[in-house]
Amino acid sequence: MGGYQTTEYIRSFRPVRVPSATVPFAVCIAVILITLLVPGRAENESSIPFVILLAGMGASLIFFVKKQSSRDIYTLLFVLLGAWELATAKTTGNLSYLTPTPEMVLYTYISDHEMILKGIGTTCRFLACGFIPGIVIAVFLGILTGWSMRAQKILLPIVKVLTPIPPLIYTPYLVVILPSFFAASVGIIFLSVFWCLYINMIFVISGMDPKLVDMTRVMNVGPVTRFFRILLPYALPGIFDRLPLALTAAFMVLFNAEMIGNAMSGMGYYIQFNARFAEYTKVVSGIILAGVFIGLVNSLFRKAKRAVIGWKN
Amino acid sequence: MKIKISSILYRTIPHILFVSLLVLSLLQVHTKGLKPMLPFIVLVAGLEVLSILLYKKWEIPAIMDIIFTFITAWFVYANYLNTRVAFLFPAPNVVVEIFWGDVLLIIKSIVSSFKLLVLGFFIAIVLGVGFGLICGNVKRLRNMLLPVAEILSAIPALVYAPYAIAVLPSFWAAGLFVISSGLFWPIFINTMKTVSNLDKELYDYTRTLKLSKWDLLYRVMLPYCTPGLFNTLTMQISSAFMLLIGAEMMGMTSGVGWYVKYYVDFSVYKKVLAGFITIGILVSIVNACMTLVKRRALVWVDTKRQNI
Repeated sequence: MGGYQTTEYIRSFRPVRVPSATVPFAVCIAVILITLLVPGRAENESSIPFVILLAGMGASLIFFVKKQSSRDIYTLLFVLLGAWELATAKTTGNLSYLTPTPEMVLYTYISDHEMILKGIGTTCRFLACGFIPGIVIAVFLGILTGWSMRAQKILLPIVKVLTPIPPLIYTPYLVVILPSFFAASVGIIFLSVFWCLYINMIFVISGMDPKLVDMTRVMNVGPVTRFFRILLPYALPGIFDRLPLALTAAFMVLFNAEMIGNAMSGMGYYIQFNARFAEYTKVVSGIILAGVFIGLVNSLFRKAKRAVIGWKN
Repeated sequence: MKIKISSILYRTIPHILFVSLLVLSLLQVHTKGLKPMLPFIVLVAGLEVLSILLYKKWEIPAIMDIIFTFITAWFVYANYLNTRVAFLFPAPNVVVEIFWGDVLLIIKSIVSSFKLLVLGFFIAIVLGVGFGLICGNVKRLRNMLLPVAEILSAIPALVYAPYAIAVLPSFWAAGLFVISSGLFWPIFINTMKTVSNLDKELYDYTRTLKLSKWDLLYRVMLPYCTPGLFNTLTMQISSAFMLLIGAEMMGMTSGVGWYVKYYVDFSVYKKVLAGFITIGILVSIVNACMTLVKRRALVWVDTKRQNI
C-alpha cells in the first residue's frame, strides 16, 4: 500500500508532458494523400471540400487540442474517415448509390443547404414549443406529487403503468386527431418529455433526505417559498441529468411523426424524404447532421447545468 | 364522527361509480344487444372484484375513482355526446370487443415483437458488456471512447433506420440492428463507467489474490457490473419499446407496432386503440418481470448501500 502511494507522490512532481501529435497528424496526412492520389470511382463532386475539412482538422489538432484523450479521438476520427474513403470512393462496385463517399456527403451540405437550414429551423421550432412546456409542467406536477405522501400513493401505481408506454405508439393517433401537423408534433414531444421527467421528479422528491424534510418543516415557510427555494433547487440536478434522455425521446417521436404526418420540412423529414427517392448520400448527411445537432444541444445543456448548479460542488 | 363519515364516503364512491357505469352499459345492452357489450361488462366487473379483493390498501378507492371516472367519461363521450366522427373516437366497449375478436392476431403480434426485443436485448448486452469490460480496463481507450460514446448514445437509433433498411438484407434485420444499436450505447457507457470506478481497495484485494486476467474480468468485474447493468436495463425498457415500435412501423409485417400502423393506414381506430392498450399491458408485464429478475439475480447486493 505504502509503496504504491509513494510512487504516486513522486509521480506528481514530474513535469506535465504534452502528448505528441505525431500519430494523429500522420494519419491525417495519410488520409489526405489517399484522397488526392489514389485513383477511385469516377464521381462528379470534387474532393476539395473534404481535403479542406481534413486539413482544418489537422491544423486544429496541432494548435488547439492538447489533451491526450482528445488527440486519441482525433486519431480515431481520421482512421474512420480514411476507412470510409477507402471503402467507398476508392473501390468500384455496382452499388455505388448505396455507399456514398465522404466527398459526396460533404458536398450535399453545400448544394442542399437551403432545405437543410429550413429543416433545422423547423425542428428547432417544434422542439422549443413542445420541450419547454413539457419540462416545466412535468417538474411542477412532479414536485407537488412527490411532496404529498397521499398524492404519491394514489398516483404512483397509475403513473408507473403509463410512463413506460412509448409515446411513439400514440403518434399516429394524435396526428389524426389533432387539427394540424404542428399541433400534433408539439403535443407528442410534450407528452414524451413529460413522461420522461414526471416519474423521475416524484422519485427525486420522495427520496429526499428525511433530515432535510424535517428541516423544511421546522423552517415553517409558505408553500410558494418551499417550492421555489427548497424543492426546486433540490430537484435541479436530477432534471439536468434527465434532459439528454428527454431530448433523445423527443427527437425520436418527432422523427416518427414526420414519417406519418404531412410534414413539409424538418431534420427527420429530410432523411425520410430522401430515403424515399433512394438518395442515400443525402440520407447519410441527414443522419450525421442529426447527430451533430443533438450533440450540440446536449453540450448546451451541460453548459447550462454548470451555470445553474454551480453550488453543488 | 366527522372523520368516519368522510372515510365511509371515500370507501363507497368507487362502488357508486361502478354501479353507474354498469347501469349505463346495461342501457346500451338495451339498444345494441348483449353480445357486443358482454366483454366490456366483464372487464368492468373484473376491475370491481379486484378492488374488493384489495380493500385493505388505503389508496385503492382513490385509484379506482380515477379509473372508473376515466372509463365513464370516455364511455359517455363516445356513446352519447360524440355523434359526428364516430370512427375517430371508438367507445371503450367497442375497443374491448376487439380483444375478443382479434385475439389471435394480437397474440401473434406480441410473440413476434417479443422475439425481436429479446434478441435485440441479448445482442446489446453481450456486445455492450463485453466491449465495456475491455475498454473500461484500459485507461487510454476509455478516455478516448467515453466522449465519443456519449455523443453517439444521444442520437436516437431510429434515425439510422432508413439507411439500415436500404443496406441490410431484410426489414427484420434492420429492426434488429436499430434496437440493438440503440441499447448498446447506454449499456456500454454504464459498464465502462462502473469498471473505471472499481473500488481501489477491491482492486488491491484482487491483486493480492493473484487472479489471472480472465478471472479478474469474469469473476470480479462482471458481477461488479450487474447491479448497474440491471439499473440501465430497467431505465432503457421504455426506449427499447420505442425503438421496437418505431422499427416495426417503418416497414415490418408483424409485431405490435405494425398492428397499430397497419390499422392507422386503414383508419380502423378501434383496433389502433386496442393496440395501445396491448402495448401498455405488455410494457407493464415486462417491467414487472424485470423487477422480479433483478430481485432474484441480485440477492447478494446490499440494497441499502448500493441504492438500486
